[in-house]
Amino acid sequence: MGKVKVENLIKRFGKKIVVNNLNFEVKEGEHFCLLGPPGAGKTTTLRMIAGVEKPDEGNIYIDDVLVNDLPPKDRDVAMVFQFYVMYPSMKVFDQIAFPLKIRGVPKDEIKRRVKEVASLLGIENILNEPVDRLTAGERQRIELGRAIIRSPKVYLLDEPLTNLDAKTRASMRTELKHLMKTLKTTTIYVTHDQIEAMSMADRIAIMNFGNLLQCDVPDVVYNNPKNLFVAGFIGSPAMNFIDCTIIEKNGNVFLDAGDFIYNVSEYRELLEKFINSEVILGIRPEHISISKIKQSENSIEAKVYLVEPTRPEMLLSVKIGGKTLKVVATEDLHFEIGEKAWLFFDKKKIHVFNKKSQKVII
Amino acid sequence: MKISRKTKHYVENTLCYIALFLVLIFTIFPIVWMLLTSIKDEADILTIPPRIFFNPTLKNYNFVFERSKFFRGLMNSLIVVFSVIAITLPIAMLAAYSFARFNVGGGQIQFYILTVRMFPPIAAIVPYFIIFRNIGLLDNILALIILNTIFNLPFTVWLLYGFFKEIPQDLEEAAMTEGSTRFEAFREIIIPLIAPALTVAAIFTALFTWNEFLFAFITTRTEAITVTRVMAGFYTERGILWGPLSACATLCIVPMFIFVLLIQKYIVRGLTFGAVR
Repeated sequence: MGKVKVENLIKRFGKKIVVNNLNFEVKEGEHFCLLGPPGAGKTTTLRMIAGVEKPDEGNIYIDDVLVNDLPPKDRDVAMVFQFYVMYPSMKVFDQIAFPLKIRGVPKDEIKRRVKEVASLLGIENILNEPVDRLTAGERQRIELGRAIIRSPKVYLLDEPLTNLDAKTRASMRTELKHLMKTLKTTTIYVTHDQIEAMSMADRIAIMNFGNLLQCDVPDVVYNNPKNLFVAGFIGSPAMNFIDCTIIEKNGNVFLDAGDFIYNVSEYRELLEKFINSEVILGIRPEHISISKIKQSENSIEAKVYLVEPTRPEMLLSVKIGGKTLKVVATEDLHFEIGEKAWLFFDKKKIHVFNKKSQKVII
Repeated sequence: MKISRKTKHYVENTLCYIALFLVLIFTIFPIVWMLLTSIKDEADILTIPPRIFFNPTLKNYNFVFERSKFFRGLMNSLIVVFSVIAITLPIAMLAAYSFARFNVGGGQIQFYILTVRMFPPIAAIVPYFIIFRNIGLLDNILALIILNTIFNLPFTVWLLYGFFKEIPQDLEEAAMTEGSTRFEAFREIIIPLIAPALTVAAIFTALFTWNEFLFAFITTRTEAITVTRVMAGFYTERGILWGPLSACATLCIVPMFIFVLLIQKYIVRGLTFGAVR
């Protein structure tokens, strides 16, 4: 129980298209994540699935039933809102009990289930408190409690951790993941934090400006981004991008970045038809190795510009001519600012994007 | 000479209290004067300069109870006040909610409603008088209930509209995804939240209606008279009966005074309402 299918979904606010022809399918029990920067249309999509927003075009199916015209209460979904919704007039117990009360569940049954949920979330001790003195973490738990107290077909979580401080967020992330794994209920999760998405989701849909850019398992969106946006959005620190032209010289294919050229003859077949056109080379900071000596013919000379000891790794900014690249180095490598360094790109991990269409070539 | 900080503080405080005292005298003087007049003999009332020491008397109250229609007026006023509250609040609540949430009429209706308060009621009283005469509602409290409801609704709608706007929409949306209909969400979540605002609205409606004079003066004669109309009765051809008039006015303050005293803690809560969440 709990499949969700979204078909050609379109939503406009006035003239602005906020969700543009969205298609995806969430499998039963799957933890599906909508990821994107603010304004990507993720929350609007979630609200349309919940039924609190009406789509302009397209269909939404829950368990193969078309729900476009069903009110929220008949869709059997539970939603957790970004700004914790607390009914100000109620105590914690009643907050959690509300979904059962509104359904006319008998009193002792309510009591039993609230206790159960409270112990699962570790909030048994605050059940009789009013909500105005609670911490953000506690409020978050209450919201989750209200969602899990009944067994809906789908959980919809709208940036559930965004309003927590960094430390609580990290611990809640672990807890939430554990909870999701225990409950095995289909979950659609909205976030702008790619770390959250990568750590929690079975599958990630990356959105920008209302468009779905890629939808796949975390490994694939990380290793094989379909386009420039996904490549830049996933991963922290973000992927390095270098504007290049593809040239052919002495039978070899090179990426010409102006300040350096890089031999990519291995990818000749893929790149041949782009010779002399503009492309973007993408390489993740963790896929560049840095050393003090030139290791191979394909190494590139650079100058250390900035050292950020984030620990356990060191994050280096290096300059090749006028271009700045981020490089992740191990702690034991000591570089001084201004020192000469040699970069070696892991050739299996490089990406080349078509500058015009922003689509991936390699 | 150097003034110490303590002295300065003392002087500032004193000045502050003096200012407060002056304002207090200014606001409380009419009420005190009214109270004093109500227990004075007619001779004492008209003496100039006013006497500070006089023999208090309850003669005026006796006059009000026995020779005027005070109790009928009191009864009518109470009926009108509570009827108007009972009709105004539900209508205003639903109207304000739909303005706040669904933008019914795109702001047009909302503005139109406000225009009712833009002209003085006396401008409308002649047509109303003719209408009520033709349908036989003159000297009938029903006419007063209708008129007071019409003129109280716009204010109440706008007052509640502001409060509804303050309530985050997430609350109802959450309640709705959790299985309630919009009406249930309204009843279970929104009304408890808006209760202080409803109290404030009820108080204003009560005060406006209680103090209303024009409609009562024009549309009532004997049967449907209200307390304000009873008071006007002390302006006689033989002159103004100051003593009974003051006694009657004093008595008129009492019900509203008790009413506001009873629910004043809700006013405070209502006015600090913005602190939700």
